[in-house]
Amino acid sequence: MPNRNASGRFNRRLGLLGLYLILSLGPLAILTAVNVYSVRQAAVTQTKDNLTASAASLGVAIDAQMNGLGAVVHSYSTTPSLIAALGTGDPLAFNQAEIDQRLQSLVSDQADVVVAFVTDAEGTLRDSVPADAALVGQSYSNRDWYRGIVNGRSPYISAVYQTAYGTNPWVVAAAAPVLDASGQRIGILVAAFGLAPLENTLLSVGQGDHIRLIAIDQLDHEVADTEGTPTKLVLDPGKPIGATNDVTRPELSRGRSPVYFVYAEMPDLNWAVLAQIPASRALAGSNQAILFTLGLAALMALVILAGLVLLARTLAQGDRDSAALRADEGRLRTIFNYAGVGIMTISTDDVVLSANPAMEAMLGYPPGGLIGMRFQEFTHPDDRPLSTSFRARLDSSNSGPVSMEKRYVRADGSVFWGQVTATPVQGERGAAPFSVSMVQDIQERRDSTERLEKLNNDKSHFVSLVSHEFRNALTGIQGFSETIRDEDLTPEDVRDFANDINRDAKRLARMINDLLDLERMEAGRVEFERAPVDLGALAAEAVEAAQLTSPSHTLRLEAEPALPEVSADADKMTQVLVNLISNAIKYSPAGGEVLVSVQATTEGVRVRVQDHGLGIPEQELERVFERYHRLEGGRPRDIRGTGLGLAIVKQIVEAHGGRIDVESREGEGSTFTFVIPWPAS
Amino acid sequence: MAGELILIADDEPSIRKLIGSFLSRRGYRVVVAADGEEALRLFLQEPPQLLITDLNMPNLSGMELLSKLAQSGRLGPSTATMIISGTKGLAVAAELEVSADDSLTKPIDMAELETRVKAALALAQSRSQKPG
Repeated sequence: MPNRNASGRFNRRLGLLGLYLILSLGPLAILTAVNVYSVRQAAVTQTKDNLTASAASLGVAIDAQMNGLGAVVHSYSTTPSLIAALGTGDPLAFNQAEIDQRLQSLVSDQADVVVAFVTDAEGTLRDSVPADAALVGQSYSNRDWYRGIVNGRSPYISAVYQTAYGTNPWVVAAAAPVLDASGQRIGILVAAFGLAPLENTLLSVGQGDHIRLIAIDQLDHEVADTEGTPTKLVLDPGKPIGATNDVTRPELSRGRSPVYFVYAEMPDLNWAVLAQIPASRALAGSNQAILFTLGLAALMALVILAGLVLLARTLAQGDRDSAALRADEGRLRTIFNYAGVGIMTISTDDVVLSANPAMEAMLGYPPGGLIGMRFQEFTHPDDRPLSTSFRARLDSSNSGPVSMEKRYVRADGSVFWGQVTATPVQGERGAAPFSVSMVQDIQERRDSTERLEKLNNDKSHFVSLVSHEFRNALTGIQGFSETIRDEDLTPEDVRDFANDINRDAKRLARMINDLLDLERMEAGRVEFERAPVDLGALAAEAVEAAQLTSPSHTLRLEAEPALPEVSADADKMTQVLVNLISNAIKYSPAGGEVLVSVQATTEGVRVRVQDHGLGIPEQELERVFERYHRLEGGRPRDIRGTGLGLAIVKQIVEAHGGRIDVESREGEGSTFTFVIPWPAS
Repeated sequence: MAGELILIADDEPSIRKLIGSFLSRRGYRVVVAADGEEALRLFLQEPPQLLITDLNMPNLSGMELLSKLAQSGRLGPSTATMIISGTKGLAVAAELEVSADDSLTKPIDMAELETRVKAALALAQSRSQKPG
């Protein structure tokens, strides 16, 4: 399902991106096309205008030039001397000298005249300047100028042709009829001009602008050309010349590369001018502008595309990020749910916002049971003020976590010590700040720390105690032995001091033995020699021995007769009895009765040692069996010992599978009771 | 001057007997106390020229005994004080705290004890003879 969602989202994104692409690139393409089209149109129009202007001005120039030639010839044809020289038009009666003189005058007056001549009315040449005998008498009625004259045009500018004179150069002839007084044509005056002036005119008009100008005569000969020598061939008027002047269709022009052209006619001469320009030339400027436009458009398209790609990548990154974020959240959720420590979030007004399963289990609440509670509700009443000040510290500390140990109250009312480490959290994006509390149950650690501290204290205490006792015993031994050595003493005194030495040495030995015994028993390294034992009999012996050393106390034994035997180490049982009885005597400094009773019970044989001495304060009752423990505080200190006696007793009894208890009331005495169980049958 | 009164306070009977008999044989008058309270009582009955006290005693410790005597003004210059302790460091510290004249550490060398007792008595005597 997530995949399908992802691909659906992907497709939607793709569609959206496509839409953006169309919306942004579409108008750009239209704008670009419109711009290119209008630039191209403008260029074409400009070209057309240029061509038209060039063609028109050339047309005007040629027209003027040719008409000028015509006018010159006309004026010579109407000179009376020439008319007179031709007489009636009979070539035989022509005044050759006068004609020759007129022609000489015309040639010398006009530059560029290749040859000037006079024909009769039928077009047969009668005289020419320069003179050429080969031409005289030849008929030129096939010439265009002749047809023009015959057709009544006067003066007439001919189409170009190769003259028969000299080296037969190309010429254009200006012809005018010579008329008599009655208007009868009596001859024709013709001046053949070279094409150089025409070409000069062409070049002067068509200079620059890459426009090719071609002059065309009435017979569609190419007369002059700004590019190269004109062919003088008849141009096909259908294509392109004369067919169209639609400059938007350069493909119609002649030649390999397309051209734009304008065809302008000169009505007087019946000549025409073709102005043309290669399309590549004509559009070069606009091409640049179009190229610039296209380049700009491409750049814009690129920018848009890049933007869209960036957007797509950002979106994709966003997808990946949010996927990664979801994965992170999943992991965090897992950590929250499975963490071994309790985790809570707590609002600034002390309300639990969330709690993980470990936290709920620690406090004994059902899932969700902590949410909405105030944390003081599960804080031990004694620790609430501390906890509140802790919260205040948390609020005032800017970032760092703060930690404290306090007691928590479970749902069932039981109490445990916990360590809470709380960190203030600034809510993201304006959410309310809260704090994250991590809670660890440290009850066990505290217990063991307490035990260790106590053990350590007890050990220190024991060392100083043992040191004191040992030193006292040693002082006695050393001092008395020195005294015996150094002093003159009576034999009685010597015996007395030797006794003291002996007693102190024994005390030292007993203390060392006790210590070693206890160490061995606690380490489980003592072998008990079990045998059937009559505890009543052992108690009787112990009482008797104690009575002998403590005459100020009354020792009484209450033992059931014929007690069943238990399985025990007799020596160790004696040690237990002696220790308990001597304790009872020690802690009854004022004397009094010590009662030892031995009874059979369902459990086993029960032995009680009861005194009416000092008793044990209630707060110390639990600890009397602990090693190194001796009653403290305001007790008569002449009650001596290492504090190991009861610890040894407990070890022995428990090693036999039994148990030992004490009941006591301060000032009224104590009762120690131990039970050795029946042997397992 | 023979026959000076020496008060010995120690909860350990062996020590009392050892020191007591030793000093008696040297011609001093000796009284012994089993704890601080008894020592205080005996001191007030007749101030000794030398008080030898154990530190670690029931009911009233050696320190408490010396402080009490000093505070009540009963510990005059004519009484020398000597502390006995199982721990040397403790003895020296106590000596400084309650301005005892001397201290000894158990086990006690008897010849050393004799020298120290003589010196302490001489000190007390010289103090008591000074004017003022």
